[in-house]
Amino acid sequence: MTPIQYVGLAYAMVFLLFFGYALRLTRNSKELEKKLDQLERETRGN
Amino acid sequence: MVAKISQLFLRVSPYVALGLFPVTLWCVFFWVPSDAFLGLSQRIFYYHVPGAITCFVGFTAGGVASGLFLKTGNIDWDHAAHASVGVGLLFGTILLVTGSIWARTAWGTWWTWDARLTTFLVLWLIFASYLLLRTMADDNEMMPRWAAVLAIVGCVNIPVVQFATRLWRTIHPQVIRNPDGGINDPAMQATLGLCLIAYLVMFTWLWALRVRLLRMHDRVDYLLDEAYREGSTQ
Repeated sequence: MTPIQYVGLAYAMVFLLFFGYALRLTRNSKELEKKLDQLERETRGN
Repeated sequence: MVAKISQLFLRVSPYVALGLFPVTLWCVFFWVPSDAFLGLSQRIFYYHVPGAITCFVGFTAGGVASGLFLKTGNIDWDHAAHASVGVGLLFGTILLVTGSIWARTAWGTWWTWDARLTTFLVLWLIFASYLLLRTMADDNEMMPRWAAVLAIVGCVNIPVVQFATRLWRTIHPQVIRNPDGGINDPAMQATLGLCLIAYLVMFTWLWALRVRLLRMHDRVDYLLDEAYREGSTQ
């Protein structure tokens, strides 16, 4: 492997971490939205 | 409309982005040939140029959504503008960082007061002040309107940045649509195009995520107001 390809692998690691974080954020925000929907329903029910 | 678009992006964009980015990495670091004059440092263009275009798309979308918010008064457009500027600024920062790294290699300096660089820095600062305004005047009900006007004013600066290399003497290279040079190799053009698509998809993902968070923020504020009103009447 050439030095530039090692740089490429380092970039891949950074992107992997970033994607992991973004996916986690997407999933957590979806769960939070569901909880908010439930809270709104309960508030209207009262 | 904004909510539907953001839901669609949240369903599709993560998978498309996850599929595209490994391909772009392979293209940039393993497949595309090095530039004959600039050598390895030219490869940073594959992140710098798409970063610039995505940033401009974000700022333009922010300006258009701000105009629609001022016209209709629909808060969804304000959310769309806020998200567009925020994510656009992220790509603008990537542009500044990658440009600076390349400049250190090619020009021997991290920064120079060249027309293209200076006009872009002004643009970046205008939109950074947009986010600052939104944060500092969060409790003022006129703030979304002030922010919308600022975003539209910022958009006026985009053509100035775009045409800075033609309007003034500048050392900034013109990579696209340059008859005397630029990226002409088909493999380089394909890699640049693929990176641009990947960046735009990434933009839609982050934009949709930001819109979802802003909408939730408003809903929580509304619930808190309702709870406060109920508490004060009991």
